[in-house]
Amino acid sequence: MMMRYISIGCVALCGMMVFAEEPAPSNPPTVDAIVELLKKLEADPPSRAEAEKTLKDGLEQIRQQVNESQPPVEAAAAEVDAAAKRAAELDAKLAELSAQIDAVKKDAADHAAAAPGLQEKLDAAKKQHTALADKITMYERALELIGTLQPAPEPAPEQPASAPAAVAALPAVNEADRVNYNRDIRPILSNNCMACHGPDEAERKAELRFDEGTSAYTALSSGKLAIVPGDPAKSELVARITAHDEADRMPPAAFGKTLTQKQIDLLTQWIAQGGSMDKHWAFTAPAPSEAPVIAKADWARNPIDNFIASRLETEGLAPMPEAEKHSLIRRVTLDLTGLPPTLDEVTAFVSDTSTDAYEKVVDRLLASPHYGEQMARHWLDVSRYADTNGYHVDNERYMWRWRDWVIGSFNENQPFDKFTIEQIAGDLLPEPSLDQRIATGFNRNHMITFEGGVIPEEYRVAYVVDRVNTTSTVWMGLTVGCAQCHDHKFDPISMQDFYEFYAFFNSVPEKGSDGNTGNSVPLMKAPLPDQKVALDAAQAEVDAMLANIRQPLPEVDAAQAVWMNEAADKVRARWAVMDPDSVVSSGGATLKEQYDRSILVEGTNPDTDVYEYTVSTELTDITAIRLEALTHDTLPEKGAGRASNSNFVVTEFEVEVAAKSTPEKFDRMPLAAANSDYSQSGFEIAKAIDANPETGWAVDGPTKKEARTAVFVTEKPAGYAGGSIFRIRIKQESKSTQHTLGRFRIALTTDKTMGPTEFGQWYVNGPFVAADGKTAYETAYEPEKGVDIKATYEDQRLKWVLTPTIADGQPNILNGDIAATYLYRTIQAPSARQISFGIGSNDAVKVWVNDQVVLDNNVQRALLADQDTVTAQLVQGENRVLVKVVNYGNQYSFQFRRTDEKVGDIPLDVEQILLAVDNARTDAQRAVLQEYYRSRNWSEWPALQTQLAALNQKKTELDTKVPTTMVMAELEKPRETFMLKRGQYDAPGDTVTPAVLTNLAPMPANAPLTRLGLAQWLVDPSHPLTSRVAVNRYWQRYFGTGLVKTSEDFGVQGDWPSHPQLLDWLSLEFIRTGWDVKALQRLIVTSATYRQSSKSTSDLLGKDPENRLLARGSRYRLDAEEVRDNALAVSGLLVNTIGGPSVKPYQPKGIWEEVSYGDKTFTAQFFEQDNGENLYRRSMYTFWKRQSPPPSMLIFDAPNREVCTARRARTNTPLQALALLNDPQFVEAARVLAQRMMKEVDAGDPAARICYAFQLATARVPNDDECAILTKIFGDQLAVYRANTNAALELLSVGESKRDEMLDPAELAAYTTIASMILNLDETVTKG
Amino acid sequence: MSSHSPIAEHALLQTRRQFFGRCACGIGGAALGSLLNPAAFASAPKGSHGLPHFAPKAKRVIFLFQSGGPSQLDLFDYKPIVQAKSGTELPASVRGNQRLTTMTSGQNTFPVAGSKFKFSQHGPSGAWFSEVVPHMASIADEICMMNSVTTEAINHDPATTYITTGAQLAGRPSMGAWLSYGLGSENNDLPSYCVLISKGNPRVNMQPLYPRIWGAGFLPTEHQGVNLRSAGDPVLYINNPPGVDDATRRRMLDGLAQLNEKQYEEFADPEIVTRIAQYEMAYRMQSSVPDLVDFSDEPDHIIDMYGPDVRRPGSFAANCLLSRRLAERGVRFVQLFHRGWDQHAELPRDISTQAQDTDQPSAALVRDLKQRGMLDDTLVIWGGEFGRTVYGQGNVQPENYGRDHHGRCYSMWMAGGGAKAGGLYGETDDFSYNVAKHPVHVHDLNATLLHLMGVDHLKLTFSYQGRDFRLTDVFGNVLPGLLA
Repeated sequence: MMMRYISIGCVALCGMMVFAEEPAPSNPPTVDAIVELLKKLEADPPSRAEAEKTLKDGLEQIRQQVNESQPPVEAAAAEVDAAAKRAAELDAKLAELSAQIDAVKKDAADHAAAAPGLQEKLDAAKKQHTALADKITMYERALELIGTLQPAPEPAPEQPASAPAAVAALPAVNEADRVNYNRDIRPILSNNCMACHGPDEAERKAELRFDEGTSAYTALSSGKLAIVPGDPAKSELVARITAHDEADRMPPAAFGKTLTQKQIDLLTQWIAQGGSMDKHWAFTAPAPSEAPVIAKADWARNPIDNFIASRLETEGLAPMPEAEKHSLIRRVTLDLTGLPPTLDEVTAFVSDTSTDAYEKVVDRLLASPHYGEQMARHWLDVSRYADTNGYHVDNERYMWRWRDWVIGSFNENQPFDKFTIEQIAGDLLPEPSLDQRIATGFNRNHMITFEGGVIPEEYRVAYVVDRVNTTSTVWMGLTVGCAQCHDHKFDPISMQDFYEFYAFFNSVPEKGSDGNTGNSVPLMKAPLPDQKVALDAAQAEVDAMLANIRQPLPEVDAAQAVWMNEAADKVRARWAVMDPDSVVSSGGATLKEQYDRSILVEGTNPDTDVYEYTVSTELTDITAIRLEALTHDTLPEKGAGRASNSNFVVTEFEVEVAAKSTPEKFDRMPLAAANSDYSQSGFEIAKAIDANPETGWAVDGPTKKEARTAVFVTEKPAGYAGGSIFRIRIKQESKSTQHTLGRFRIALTTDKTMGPTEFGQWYVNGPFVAADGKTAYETAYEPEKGVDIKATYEDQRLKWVLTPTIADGQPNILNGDIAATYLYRTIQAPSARQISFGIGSNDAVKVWVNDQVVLDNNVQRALLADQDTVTAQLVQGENRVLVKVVNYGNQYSFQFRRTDEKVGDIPLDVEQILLAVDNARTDAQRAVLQEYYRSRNWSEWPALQTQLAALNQKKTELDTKVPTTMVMAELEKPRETFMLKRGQYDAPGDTVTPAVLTNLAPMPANAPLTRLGLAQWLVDPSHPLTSRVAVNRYWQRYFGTGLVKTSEDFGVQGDWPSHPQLLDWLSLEFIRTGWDVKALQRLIVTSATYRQSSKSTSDLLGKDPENRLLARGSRYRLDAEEVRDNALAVSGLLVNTIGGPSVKPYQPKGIWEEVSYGDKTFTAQFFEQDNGENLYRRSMYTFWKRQSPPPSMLIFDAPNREVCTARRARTNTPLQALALLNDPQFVEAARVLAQRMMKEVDAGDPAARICYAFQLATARVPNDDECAILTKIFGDQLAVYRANTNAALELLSVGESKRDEMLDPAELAAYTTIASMILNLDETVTKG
Repeated sequence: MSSHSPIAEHALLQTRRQFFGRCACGIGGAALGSLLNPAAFASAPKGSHGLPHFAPKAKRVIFLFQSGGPSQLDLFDYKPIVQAKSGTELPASVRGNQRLTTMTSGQNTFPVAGSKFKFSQHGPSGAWFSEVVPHMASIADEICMMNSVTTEAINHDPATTYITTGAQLAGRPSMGAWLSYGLGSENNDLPSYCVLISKGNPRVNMQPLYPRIWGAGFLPTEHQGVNLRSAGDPVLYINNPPGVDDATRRRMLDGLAQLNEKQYEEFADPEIVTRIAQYEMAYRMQSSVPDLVDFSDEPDHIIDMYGPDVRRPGSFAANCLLSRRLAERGVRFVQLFHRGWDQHAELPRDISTQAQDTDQPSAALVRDLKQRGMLDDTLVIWGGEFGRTVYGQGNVQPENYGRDHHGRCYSMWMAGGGAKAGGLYGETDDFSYNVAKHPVHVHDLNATLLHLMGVDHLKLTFSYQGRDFRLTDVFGNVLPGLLA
């Protein structure tokens, strides 16, 4: 190692000659004195012994000074520690003892005030210590130098021109020699020790930690000290890592890791140098720094170059000269747009001699719409963007509106902070725009499952975890995922931190199992601008037509008023409104009968109440009891309920009846059914007769202040001859206190039509197996010819089996594969009526009611509720329902329920409206009545309806073309977040509320505790990670590797930056410019560093093969998309339209199918290749099926997009060679390029044509050798294809585009061979 | 050593990529020739990462993956009590509070479904085989039957991802990728990890496959499994375009090499040399792959052993034979995926069809390896992502029943490669519902598999996002009872 320093040392010493002398013989000799010594030596070599002695003595003196300086350092450090400790204790007290706040605050403040003074003291001591240490190095070097001079010293080298640079280099060398905790020590401790001596409290051994705190410096339970600053011999850490006894040695054998001697030496050296632990570099704010002064000051084009050159000078390297112009324009064009430059662009740049020629190119590229595409392409990887859902069936989703938003955002140069906020929390911004909501799709790009049998909550939790992990990796370069199950082993992230972060993303109204039909909830319609215009116009037409239909029509309206009165009377007449004998509140409320026989409730409103309503009647054959809940001005918000929000709950409606002759003998009167004109979701009317006091009927009182009607149907006609007494109890016993009825009225009817239908249980018969689904559907098996429950079929193999497990309203799995199955049931109806069913089936279904076909749907589909709705007429008495379900293969299932029932002419909903008095009707109800009446009594109605239907149809057609996109949204009531034990969805622990990782940066003032606040925290300038992580990823794009190589991990286990000061400078610059993304790209690509030639030497390669120091330009293979886009562009095939739905260019047949579920009811199971322009779109638009990504992308290292990828691998494999040589899209591109060669260059000279294609692909003119190689092969191939025209025609037939038949096939085929070679050149697929 | 100095870092890495060896002398024709030899697919040559950790028993693995969840109750795990109590309710004490899939968690009853099939014992351990797998029974002497395999997953996607990558969610490298990364390649013209997807009976319920289960996860992409396809090109893009003959291709490659060499002379980028080598490798693959998939050199008695289906390209039988040919050529890991075991309904009919597809070829593969002396160092594994419930899904009839997914216990078998021949490991309770003795967790299975390959599962790690990841996550034990 020392050998390397000799020349530098010598230069440095010479450079120091100009410094002022230092006196005092008791002090070690000054630099000048040493130089003098050297001069003397030159003249008089025998004086070496004397010189050596002088230097050695001086060295000894300095060493002594160093030793003396150590105690003050330690003392100061101890004082600082003590003060810090005291301040921390007081802080803790502050939180706990609010009563003592003021006193403790003062105390704490005093101590805090003392700290800077002490810190200064420490700094001064350290500085002195450092200065002395530097001197030691210098002396040692001088000694060494003397050694090399013997016996016949060389003349002193010439003083170089750039002396200041050499001086600057000296401290840098020293810097590299000193052990740096973060750079050198933390990785060792982190990899080998911190699993047991780090942040994870549960795993911590011996109460000792090596990442922070004082435990390493204070006595352990054994009484020993892990680290004694400055004294490795007394440090237990050193004793343990060097212990001979395996039982004592750390890390323990069972841990499976051992320290190398080099690591042991470093740790020892570190302790000798003080053994202090600094906070992990990435968790402290970037430090501002000036661009270093460099020797080749004129080389630097911007401050980036100073940082790079400074390091190169330290390492004794020099940058490469600027790349040749053709090379430079190709590099920057590919980097900024992902496409190669055109020949015109190359020529223009090469011939532009102005000083800012290059900057003009950069500005042109930054303004190109393809810049946004290229930037977005990288963002798609970190965003795990894809066109399918990923899990299990892996069917299609539609997120391209989000993808196109990203492209647009980059093209508009949206600042990175806004870009961040909109993606994380665009929906929470005030009055979010369509774009801002689309942006939130970032956090919906994760995979989603729709596998049958999954437990939805398990996956919902997985989605939330994915958001946490992705957000942390993308913005903070942190792997918080570890803390899902336990405190992080290395980074200061506890399990609680994780779940507090998780809580931000936990209240999305989503489903764990979703995505069976495209996008999953929450989603939104995201019309394109032209669609929006068309839709608005269509809506306006519909509105105009509706206004026309609803316009006042004096004559018709007058007639309607008459009809309404008559019809209402008729309906009302069916009901006998009751005048009660008594009505009592169990809770003490006052019940007053009103003029209209309704009961108004006043006075006290108890939490729960039972109204007991007793009435006598002579009626018999009573079929139903009606309860009207009526509004009143005295009730809260003029509603019908007494709760402050005007709602009410009827938990039970109970009826007892006694004969007047035996008035004490009440019997319970069973109720068969209940119907109502409206029920609140979850509070259906049936819950008022379910004998469960905890459930009941409610009516959305807070939003709907309307009168409501419920009808309770008796199980059998009720009422004794000679009169009956009915006792009705209306109960409010729910947990919703005071939700009592405010005004109500009771009526009875003897109308027989009120009776409920009765559904028989299902009989099942099947499966009737067939060769295929079509046959099964079309074959009329025996049951279709008449159901006989006792009959057997198919040689007695099949019969009708009563199957009570087939339940209405839920999916029922049927036995069999490709087959037909029959289901049969009867329905008893007390009167003729119309009934509707909702039916779901996998697959085809046919339904008969009373032998009439009412549904005939030969379909293949996955089961959903109510896929078909059928309406049928029931006769009084028994009705027969026969269903045939046919399976085409795989899943076989069926679902059935009653959706609606109607008795008489007037539909029940219209009847309910008629029952209300006119002024109690809502506008919507009036509209229903108007529509009902006008549709039957206005001659123009049918024509207008036809027109309206056409307009609606047009609107619907437009609307169905509007793409949807998945977005973020928040539940009205946030979901509670629990810490999940071991990270398991079904093991909730303590509850937590949203919080950011405050040990990184505080929450900005006034930021809400929502995703919006989280986003604001991320882009707050005080956040130490966001800007660093972002600029590092940008850097990675241009140089192949980030300044921090682990661009996905800035945590303790991540890599140390190659240029820490540059990283900090860039990140502060990014913030300073207002997160100006284009400005940052411009800064990087206009640097001299970027513009270097990528030519290398074996020496440079040997020293820095990965080019981390950037002593040359970067040279590496294009990304997968660029490889293909480049070939398309060079050949001229490229269609460079921006955005839109994803496309399906060529891919080998069958590769989706061989992994697919194969059920046609799902999408993205069978690959259907696109045609025409879609074959030649840029690769970022290629349909990305996660479980079968485009093979030519995968082969060139594109990720499968299942999870966030911040850094792609870059491999070099034979499969890549096969793809480039043989994939039809590249073969076609070669042929089209060959056509360009022949058509765009004058005939006659193959070399000129070859040269042209070579230039198109590489931006440079090939040299004579290269041209000769290709021309020779062209000649050989021409002979081959002239001799075999068929072979030529075969080659030219590859690809969908037609060959140019004007061109000679043999010649074209030969040029195609050459074009293919050119597209396969290392140079063509490489950015250099 | 820390990574603060790229130069110092490189000094340590040098041995891996051997830049000096490639670059020091420039590349004349002679030097070029010597460069074209090393393993192409895995940049890590054999023996990197200090591997193998100890002498391997198995040099290669053939994993006959049975996708969908074969019913242990109808194939291997014979339970007289189940047969006797068929149709009665499964005791709640047996079922416990285990989570069920939402396909049967709503069932009101859980009637025990006895197997329709007859069972008999074979081999030294007396392992049971049902009548649908007579050929497997006939190789009982070679088989180590595991009746106590267990997993926490209860649905296909997570369970399959679990056993093949060691995690239920996506993102981790597959077992084969780990082996490719750790052990490198043993041949010069084929990938070290090949995947075969067989085409079964099209009427059965075929679960989708997820290429992540042979993916590279966060390992370099070159380690992902290469799918050898039975239709179209066996390896994607392996065939020259129409109208391009071998001589043309050779001429193109020679020209490309010359041109790329010139580029190398100017830029001194070692990747250029690698690229030249990869193009040559591709050329060699183009001749070796057709030879690999051409069975015409197989004698009749071998063909017959695999059964009539072997003549149908892409059948399980054909892929078993192809697996043997890959193993012969030094391919490290062959994973064959056969779908159709997901029998929620009509199990007796469908499992018979599945057995017809798989029974004879599986046994033939083991026999074939044995007679060639390859079984000793080739590990064959047979099994899927989970088993099936003892209770019926839907109606249970003696001749017709279905079963739901069951991860608590199921059966797999191994043969050769250091696995205990004629062994029987682990027991389940009377209902084949819970493991009674010697569980084989999927992590244990993977740890043992790596062990047989000479790899300590604790030491084969890859540092990603700040953590050293392993195939077995933070779990797994090598099970000595499975070893010969």
